[in-house]
Amino acid sequence: MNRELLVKNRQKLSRRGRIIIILNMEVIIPECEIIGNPSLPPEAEPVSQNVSSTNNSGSFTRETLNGSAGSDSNSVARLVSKSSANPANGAPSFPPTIQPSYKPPPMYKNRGAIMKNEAPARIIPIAALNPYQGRWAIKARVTAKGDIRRYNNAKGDGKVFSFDLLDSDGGEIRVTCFNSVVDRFYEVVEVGKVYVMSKGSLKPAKKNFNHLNNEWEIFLEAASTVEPCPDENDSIPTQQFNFRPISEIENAENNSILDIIGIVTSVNPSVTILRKNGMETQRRIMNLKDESGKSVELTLWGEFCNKEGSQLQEALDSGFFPVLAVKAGKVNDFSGKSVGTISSTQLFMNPNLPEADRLKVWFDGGGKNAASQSISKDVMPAFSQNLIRKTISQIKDEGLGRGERPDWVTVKATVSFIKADNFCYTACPLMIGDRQCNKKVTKVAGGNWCCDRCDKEFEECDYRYLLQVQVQDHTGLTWVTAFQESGEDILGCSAKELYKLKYEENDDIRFPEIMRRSLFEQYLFRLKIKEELYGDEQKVKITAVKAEKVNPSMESRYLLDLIGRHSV
Amino acid sequence: MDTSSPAVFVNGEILKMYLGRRVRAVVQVMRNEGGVIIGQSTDGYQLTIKGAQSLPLSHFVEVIGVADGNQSIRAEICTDFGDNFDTVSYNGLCQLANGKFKNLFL
Repeated sequence: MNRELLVKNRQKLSRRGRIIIILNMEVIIPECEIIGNPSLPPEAEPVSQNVSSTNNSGSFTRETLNGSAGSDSNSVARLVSKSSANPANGAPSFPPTIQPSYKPPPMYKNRGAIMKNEAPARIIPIAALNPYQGRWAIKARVTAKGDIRRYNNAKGDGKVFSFDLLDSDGGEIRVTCFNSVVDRFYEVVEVGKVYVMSKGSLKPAKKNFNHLNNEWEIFLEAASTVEPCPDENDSIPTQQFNFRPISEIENAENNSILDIIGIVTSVNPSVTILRKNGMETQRRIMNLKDESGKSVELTLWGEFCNKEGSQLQEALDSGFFPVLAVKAGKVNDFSGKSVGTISSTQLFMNPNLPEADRLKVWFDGGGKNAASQSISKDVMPAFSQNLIRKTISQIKDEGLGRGERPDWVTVKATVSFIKADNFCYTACPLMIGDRQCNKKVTKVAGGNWCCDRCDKEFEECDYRYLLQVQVQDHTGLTWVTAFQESGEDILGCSAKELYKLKYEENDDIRFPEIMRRSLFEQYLFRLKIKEELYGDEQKVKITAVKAEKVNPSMESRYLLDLIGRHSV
Repeated sequence: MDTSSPAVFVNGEILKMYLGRRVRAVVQVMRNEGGVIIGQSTDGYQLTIKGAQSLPLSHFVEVIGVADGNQSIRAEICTDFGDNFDTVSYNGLCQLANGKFKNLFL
């Protein structure tokens, strides 16, 4: 075929001859006779033959990128003229040969046949997925499916939903669909069924929401395919767990996500909780126990309370202790360590798992009565908490309380004196939210009490401790102030009772007796130490927030541990 | 306080080091056999306490007497410590009292 070419640009490069570099070509007439008398340069012949031969052999070693980068073959038509051996007529005839269109070389996999673009991609393990993979397909079971979530951002309204996949090698990955893709796949995808998926894009996983063990996440698009695989039954497990023994949760990081399994030993009723955003939700607490000798509190939130919560309650009411497996529970360290549900948590009651069977056998064989220590309570043996223990002399020697923030320490000391005068103050009993106001109230004319903060008057006020207590240990002596809780711990009765005893009943026998019997008891005091300005003097103020009677057994263990650590 | 014949704090393992000496140990009553108590020491050894009156099973008893065998004590004084006793702490005490801090004890 002859084509007339319009040369758009040319440059004169060399003095030896004129070289024309054609930067752009536009066909203006598809068929045309030869114009003029063109002739080939002498070197063109062997060169052209080489070019034509190498074009067809496909011996390129570099791979072309396929997949999302676009794999359309770039056709570049090249015109190479060959001089014909014997022109039939006088004028040289040059039937120019158009080389075949440039095709990217076939993409070779490690093994197996050369793939054509149209054939289905080979199935690879989820663990092998990455954004640079090229064409891929995975075969996996849906282990979790989220709800459609609608949102509104700068681009307008949108919707999104995600589901999790698990394949036969144990690889897991989350798949997310946006907007129109949601409509395509939301009904197609069912939990528990197996699908072959291809042509999605891979992006880094959002670790805040995605707790699967994969650094990537699949995003399905218009070209993606999700084909159900009805004949797939056993090679892919329905769910994958990574159970941790309850004893390990004690050392787990706050907010970490983990799987646990245990026997439910108790279920509390649901309570309505007011959330920070003003919405109400349900909360339900239960206890799980396992063979590690520890038990943990599991907090169910929202829907879990009614659904799984009720099922568990029913089981316990009937006298059964069900096994509960938790996938993706969140560790909370508010009070000891506990586990709570999040939106992606899944609960399985009496699952068909070897761990569940093992637990049942252990429980029925004696585990039921085995002692179990809860990791969710704040009352832990003193030595296992990271509480700083100080002696009384250290408070002064180390200048505790002088810093910007108060120092919190534990001191073992004995009560040596309690001031009997002004041991309490008149407090406001009105509630502010879920706490009592407790501000000091004054008596007004008429006999009522008045609170400045609540701006109300009332007949009866509350009495709260404001004890000045002298405490001693083998190193020294100091004064601490004990408020309501610690005051009750020390004296063993409420401030109101004591007030009545002294000022209303004027009981000269019982009142001193109560004071006296509280002396010379040894306590573990939790002290808050802070320097404060009193008038123009800086004074170190010590408050006893908690006064716990020394438990000989726990204290002995603490001392044993201390001795061991100090004498190496 | 009579310090003429002090009793060494022992558990099952340490007992054999003090044959013929006055020792004290806390054991948990496992069996009563007419004047003899079979008890478990705080480190899990089975000890025979001779000349002891019967005491409630699984109670802890402090025995002060003479060690007359690798695993037996001829009791002089037996005191019922009840059923709530921290064997771990006691065992730790025995080890420290006969090890590093022997000089603190008679």
